[in-house]
Amino acid sequence: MSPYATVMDDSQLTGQPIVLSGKGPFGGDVEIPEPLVTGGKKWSDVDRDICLHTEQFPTKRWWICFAAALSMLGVLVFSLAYLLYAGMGICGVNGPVGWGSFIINFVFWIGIGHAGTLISAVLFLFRQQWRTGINRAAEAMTLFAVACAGIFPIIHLGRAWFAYWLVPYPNARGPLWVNFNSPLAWDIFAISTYGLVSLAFWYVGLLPDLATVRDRATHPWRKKLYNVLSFNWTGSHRAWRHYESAYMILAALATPLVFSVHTIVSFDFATSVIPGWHTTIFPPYFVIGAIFSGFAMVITLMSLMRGVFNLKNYITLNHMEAMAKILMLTGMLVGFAYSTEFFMAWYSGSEWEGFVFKNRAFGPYWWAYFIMFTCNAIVPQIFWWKSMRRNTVVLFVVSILVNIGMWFERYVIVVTSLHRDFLPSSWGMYALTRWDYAILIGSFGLFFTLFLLFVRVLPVIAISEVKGVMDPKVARSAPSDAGPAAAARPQEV
Amino acid sequence: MKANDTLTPFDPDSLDRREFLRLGGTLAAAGALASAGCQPPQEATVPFHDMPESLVDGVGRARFFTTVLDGAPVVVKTREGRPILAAPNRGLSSGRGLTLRHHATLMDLYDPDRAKGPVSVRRGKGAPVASSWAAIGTEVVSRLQKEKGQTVLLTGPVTSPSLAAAIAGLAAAGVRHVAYSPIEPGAPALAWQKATGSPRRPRPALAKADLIVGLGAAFLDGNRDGLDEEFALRRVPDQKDAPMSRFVQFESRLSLTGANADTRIRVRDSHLPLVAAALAHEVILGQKTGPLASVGDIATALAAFSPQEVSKKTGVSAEVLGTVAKQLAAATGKAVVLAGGPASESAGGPALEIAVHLLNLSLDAYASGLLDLSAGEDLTHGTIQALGTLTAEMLAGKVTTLIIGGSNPVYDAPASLKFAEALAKVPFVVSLNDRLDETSLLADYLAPTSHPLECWGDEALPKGLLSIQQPCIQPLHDTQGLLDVLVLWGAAAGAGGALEAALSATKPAPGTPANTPAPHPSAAWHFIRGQWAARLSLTPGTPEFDSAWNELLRSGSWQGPVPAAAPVAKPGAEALALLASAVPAAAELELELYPHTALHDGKSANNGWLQEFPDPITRISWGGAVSIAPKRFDEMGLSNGDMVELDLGHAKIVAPAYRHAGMHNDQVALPFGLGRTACGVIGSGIGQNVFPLRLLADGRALAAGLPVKILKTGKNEPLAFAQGSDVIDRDRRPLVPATTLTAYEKDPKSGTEQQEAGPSIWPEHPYKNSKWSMAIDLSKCNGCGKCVIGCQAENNIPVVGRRGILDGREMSWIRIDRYYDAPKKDGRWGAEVWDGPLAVVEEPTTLFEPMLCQHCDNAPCESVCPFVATMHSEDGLNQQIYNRCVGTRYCANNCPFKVRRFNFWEYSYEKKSALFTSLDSRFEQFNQLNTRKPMQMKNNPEVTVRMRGVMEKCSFCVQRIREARAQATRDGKKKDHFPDGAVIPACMEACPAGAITFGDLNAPGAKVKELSSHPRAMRLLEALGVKPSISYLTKVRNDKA
Repeated sequence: MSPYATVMDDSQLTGQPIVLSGKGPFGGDVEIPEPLVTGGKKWSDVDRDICLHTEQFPTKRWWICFAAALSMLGVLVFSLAYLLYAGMGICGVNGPVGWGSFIINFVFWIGIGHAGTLISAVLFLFRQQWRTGINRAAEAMTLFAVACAGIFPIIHLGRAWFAYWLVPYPNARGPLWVNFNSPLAWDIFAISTYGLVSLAFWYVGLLPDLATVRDRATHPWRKKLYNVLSFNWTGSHRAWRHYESAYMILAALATPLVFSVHTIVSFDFATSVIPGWHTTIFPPYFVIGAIFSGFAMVITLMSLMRGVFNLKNYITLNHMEAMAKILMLTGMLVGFAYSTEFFMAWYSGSEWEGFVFKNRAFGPYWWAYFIMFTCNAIVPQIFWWKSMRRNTVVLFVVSILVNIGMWFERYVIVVTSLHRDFLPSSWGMYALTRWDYAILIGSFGLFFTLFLLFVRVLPVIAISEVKGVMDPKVARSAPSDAGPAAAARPQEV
Repeated sequence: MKANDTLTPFDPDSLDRREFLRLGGTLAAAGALASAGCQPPQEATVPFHDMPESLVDGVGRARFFTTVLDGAPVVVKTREGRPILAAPNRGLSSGRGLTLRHHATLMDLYDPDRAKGPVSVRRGKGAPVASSWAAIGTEVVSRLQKEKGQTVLLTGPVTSPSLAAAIAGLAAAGVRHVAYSPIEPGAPALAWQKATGSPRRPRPALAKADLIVGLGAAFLDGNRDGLDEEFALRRVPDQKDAPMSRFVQFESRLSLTGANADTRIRVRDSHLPLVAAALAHEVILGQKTGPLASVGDIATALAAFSPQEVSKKTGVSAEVLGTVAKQLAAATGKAVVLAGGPASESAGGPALEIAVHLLNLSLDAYASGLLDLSAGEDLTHGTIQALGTLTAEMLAGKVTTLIIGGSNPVYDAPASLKFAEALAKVPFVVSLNDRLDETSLLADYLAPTSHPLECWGDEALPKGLLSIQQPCIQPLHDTQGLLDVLVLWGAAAGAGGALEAALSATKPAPGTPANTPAPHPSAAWHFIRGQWAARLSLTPGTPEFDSAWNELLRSGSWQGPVPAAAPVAKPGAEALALLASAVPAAAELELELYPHTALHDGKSANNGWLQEFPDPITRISWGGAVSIAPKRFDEMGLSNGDMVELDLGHAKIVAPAYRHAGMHNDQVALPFGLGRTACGVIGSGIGQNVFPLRLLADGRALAAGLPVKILKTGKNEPLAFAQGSDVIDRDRRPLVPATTLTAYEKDPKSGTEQQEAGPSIWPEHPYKNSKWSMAIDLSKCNGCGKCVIGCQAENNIPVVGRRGILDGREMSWIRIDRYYDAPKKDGRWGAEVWDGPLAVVEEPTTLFEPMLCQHCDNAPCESVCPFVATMHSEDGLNQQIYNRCVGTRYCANNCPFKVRRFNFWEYSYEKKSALFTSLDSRFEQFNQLNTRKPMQMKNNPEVTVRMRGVMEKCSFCVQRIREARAQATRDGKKKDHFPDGAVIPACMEACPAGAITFGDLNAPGAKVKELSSHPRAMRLLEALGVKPSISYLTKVRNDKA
């Protein structure tokens, strides 16, 4: 008996397998999972539900969101122009705390960018079919998060217009080569590789769906455009065979990147001599934190998409629950890392280490540590209760809190380690200025502007992959307005 | 002005092509001129405002001028006609040293807020309008001729013999002279006058003293008497010929001097006279020491001051007094007792000074040469009494014309004098100050005088040494030297004599041919030459005189007859009567006003370097604060920067509070020199002016022991601290090597204990030739911070302003970390130690540690820079390459010593976008502090001016190292090793204590090698494996009684 055979409404999902009593081969029970797509959708329903958002004039709600995002982006553009004119002085960084909100934002956004590849590649390799509902949006999120992250290492430079000197290519400046001892040079490779592979992976996955949009298009120019974008996808068996193996290979290539990027980002700190940075736990700690924050952001975005674009049949409560479970697991791992750091600080017997961690928790930045620990290690514990995992409001609130907590984790790492290091004479304090805030907010503006444009022009759910996890028996028939699915049909918004 | 290079000894071997051509050209020109007029060519030093790109001045060689600046001999380094550095003239045993103000004088010279030319101020009614020297001169001269006897010249202290002679000459034109110094040692002057009949204070020979006892002494607090240099000679524990001296200080406010004491005992200012008398009582009557022991009236005078009695009144334990007295008595002939600090300016100050005098007499300090009267300093160059009399006359309308030169009483006279009111009663006032300051604003005219580096003068130094003040640059503005003006006006008004002669010498003699070169235009030049000719018994214009004169300009000084030291008699009854003023304080809380460490009396308040200099003790820059004892501070529930009101009865003042470690609980203190209202845009409105708070009594201005009440106001203004935590717990963080003499003698390595480094996988640098290295002897370092200013001047370091300090963006390449050493405790200190608990800061042990780039062999900054902008040179320098630096600031984060400085803003030129600069007031501030013309002229052309966005740090003065290499190349010498002295970085050059030794570690016999391998040497943070190039030598405290 095929899984996903049952026709269920979103509200009927329980998160438990369906038990078919006495249907087993020896008369026992059979458990089959609940369907991944609810509402008795047909394949053609899928095409329409998902492509519809790219085919109609944007709704008022979209325009409001877009206007807000665009204004935030405007703030970013103006702030960056001013920053380039004036220099880092307008921000809060200073003597002991040479890195501030920009590096925090950088690590934060790179972390966000982790869930996409994890969902696409790692879950793909592990045959986690529930990933199909969310992978497209998560990958897009990854790309946009990496784009946001990519700004910060450049703008935090004193002379940002020379940032290209970081790229090792034969040049007429000596030639001036980069210092391969420096983790910042490694960052360039790690992030650009990650960005490019994520982009390729995302785009390859998009090809059949772009063809679907092309096929549905009525305007000749639209047809031509999407045809070009889909590389003239024919849908032949040959094409599908090549596509599937390419996707598999890319998934295999992307998987190590999930772990390498944040490992290398963590080296920015771990290879230094600064107590609180110079720790071997950083690579796994950063990777887990990144996955944690990435999933939180996916939950935030999926909650919005479920609501705004009425995709509840494709991103079901079961999807949300699965992500909640990952969030809880990674949250506990992050909490474990926090505790390990404290243990090691005590166990090492090092004055410097011991002081830094005491100072983190009880020094002048105790509040940042408190926010971090509460949001990351304690709040996700609420997901021990199934009802909480399936409560969309709780999920949304927790995901926001986790994102706040993870931003503060980076704040704690960057600021509290630097503000009091070896020489007590050099201790100082750090605070964000209005321009730090403007650029942080502006980076969200960039992210949401890109994301809102994405949902307007590209299929937000992997149509072909979703179709693959639907039971053909249910989905093959022609679309009908009658039947149990009608009630669950998305409203045309 | 004469060119100095005509004086350099001629060395035919060094004659290269350029030199030959230049000499040839000069000779040809000289020949042409000589044939025309038989007069030496007149040469002028004219700086370029904008340097022509094609112009190369020699091989970038500097010219040096020996001159004298505010009483201290200096060597001024000039490039392309611009003075770029003022350094001490170490060749002279002048008994004078440079203060921070001397080192920072370039900022005064190039101060954009100086008056650009004469103006008519019109008593502040309306904006000043431009005037001319001729117009002002005519008016002054006509008044001088009309109003003989009613004209007064008010100056600062006059220590220049030529100026004194000119002023004496002016008396013939009916001008009376009054001198006034805002910070005058009134009590010592009075005491010395009464005790010895002369107001000359003897100079202590600290290098000869085994035991120094200070009673509020301030000989390390920013004076120009060079005692810091002598003090340091005996502060090292392992010199065979000079065993370590011991210094005991009684004081209330922890001063720089007190911070260097081996034992420091807290006594409030008004109790110091009692303590001094008790010591005298115990030494003279108790220990029966010295010639006074048997003198009856001294016994009577001291009778009331037995240690027990004094202990009851002051709370200082009789045991401590007895011990110190015993130690003094035991060290007779090798001990000296000093007072004369700000504490002496209390009502009981004269008693303190007399008691100290009695002590020194008893200890044979005069006979043994520990107190040198011949090197004494006259304390009556300017007195408040004279100003008081003048003010009374002005109020009575007896003064019709007042000429003010180098004095600013509207700012710095006591309020009760009502000087501004009196000034309004004078019909005609001309100010000869250098800017539109508080006093000039109320004058009729401002005829601005030149900076001492722009004009001629001379100076009498101690021990009969005389020094010439020669200009190193043409006046930048339409200004004239004070001496020039006085000669000019005096001669015009008919003073006759030498004045007349000097003036007429500036004009061509009648009947000389038209093509004759004009005579030297400076009347002061002619006047001084006349004075010197008389002194040397030569005639100006003769070859003998010219050669003597040139030698004078070259060496900078001339040894005159040493004044004979009159034998010191025992003090008479009048002097002993002063002891009666030693009475216990009546008020619960008293205020001390003390000279600001950097700004002193505030004359240079518009100097950004001095304003930004963090006080060595409080670490406050850009302003001052009410120093309050930690216990009282905590009890009042204050935090640093809380505004408190000080109520003195006759005046009130609101100022920020500061928790001052080591302060006596019943005392508060505030610095002079701040609160200027009209010194320029940099210094105006910084801090509070406390000069008016002084009380006039007995012809003295009391500045200590003032009864005061303190009230909270509930407001807070953050203080600009240049330091984080004040405390160091060396048990946990062995970052400063320090120990006691006893421990040191047991184990010379004591105090340098730290965790050792593990093995390193980095290959070692080979250092085949030179390896530059530094050793800093913390036992010698007194924390004065002259290295900081010296470095700032040499390396073109910008000023970041109060906001910059508050933002944590100071730029200094070298800083003096000041720590209070947490005492050993049962168990360990918790985290509270870093907040300065009372147990640490009430009786603090102060440690100073100059911190600069350590030029680590395994520099953590080098490995993390992705742009390779900081790298290791083969001679051991950690180089910063500004061109390559893109500003990730990773290096600064990874620097364990936090010595890297980032250009967060553009400090080097003005940003002009109207839109963007309107978003932040700091653009305007940085422009005011750094980029206004002619400030750029101070820049050292050998050092890159950094742009915003790049990192910078101490370079070990790489420009001087490279210059030494270039010189070796030019001389055809080897360049693999450099002997000691071949390269002297700016900090070492400025250090009066000789605490800094720099050199080539690989050179045979290098001093730095010896010091780096000394048992006292410690390289910081060894456990990190960074291997610094700087060794710190243990600070040893002499605990051996």
